Amino acid sequence: MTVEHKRGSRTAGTESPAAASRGDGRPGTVTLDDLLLRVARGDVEAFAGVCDQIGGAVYGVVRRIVADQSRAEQVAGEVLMEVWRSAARFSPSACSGLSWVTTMARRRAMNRAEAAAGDGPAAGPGPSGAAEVVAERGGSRLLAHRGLASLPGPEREAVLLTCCGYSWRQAADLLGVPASTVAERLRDGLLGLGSYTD
Amino acid sequence: VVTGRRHDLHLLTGVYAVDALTDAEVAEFEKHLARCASCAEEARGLRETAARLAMATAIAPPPGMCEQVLAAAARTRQLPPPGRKLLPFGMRQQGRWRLTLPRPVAVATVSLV
Repeated sequence: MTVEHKRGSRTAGTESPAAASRGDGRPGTVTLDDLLLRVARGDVEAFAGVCDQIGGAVYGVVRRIVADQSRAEQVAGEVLMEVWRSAARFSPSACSGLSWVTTMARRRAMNRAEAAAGDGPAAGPGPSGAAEVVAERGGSRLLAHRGLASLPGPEREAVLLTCCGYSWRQAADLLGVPASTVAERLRDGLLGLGSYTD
Repeated sequence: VVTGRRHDLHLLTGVYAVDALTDAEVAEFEKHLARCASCAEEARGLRETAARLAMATAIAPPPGMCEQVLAAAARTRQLPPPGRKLLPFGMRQQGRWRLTLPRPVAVATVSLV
């Protein structure tokens, strides 16, 4: 599944959200940014298109951080409602719609995970490594991601742990390295991933 | 809070982009971003990369999740754009020339009858 990004494009919204939901990259596919701009004007149909396009990305981000499945569903629903409520604050010149929404999802999920005692990433007896953390959180698609798989192990671990809501300091504790090392590995890992588009 | 030497700050773009810093650390790093255009640009790019990774590793949501959200949206009011406040009742989506009388005037008129 891919989402087209045309930052700042303002094509007329004549296509149906259903066409957007197919996300097949055919000409005429409505971009997420365009849908969000329509949602900002109260367009419920466009919001259905948004949910179709990024419901899975939002749920994935939240699920890997919140861990518990039913709570993840609840939090993902809250994120989508936040998208609906605050769509007028989305600015395509500041970031892509996908980045706006997934950042919102990550932050809300991290707040929820912190708030729930015993449900935080660092709670419990503790996993022994990044792959184990990811596997516990429905992260099979992360583990299978080709771009991630191509990264050097330490960089990959840093990316995986932060995808699971670990702060740089929590990741450093788990890996037994200084936090600054985690920061450097994560940066290198994300820079390496930048050339992968799917 | 973040870390001692200044050049180390440049390495924090990744942890900043994926929200892996504490609030206090974020505040401090954003001061740096305001002065360092290359870090600001890099952080923005890394956040986009993380977003694409999220899209590529989406998990099918439980059935009914989106339907529930859509039903809730239909009865939930949206926030105004930043910097614009909700207008008082009766002034929404109308030009000034169509404004109804301000309330105190309307009340005064009624009381005269």
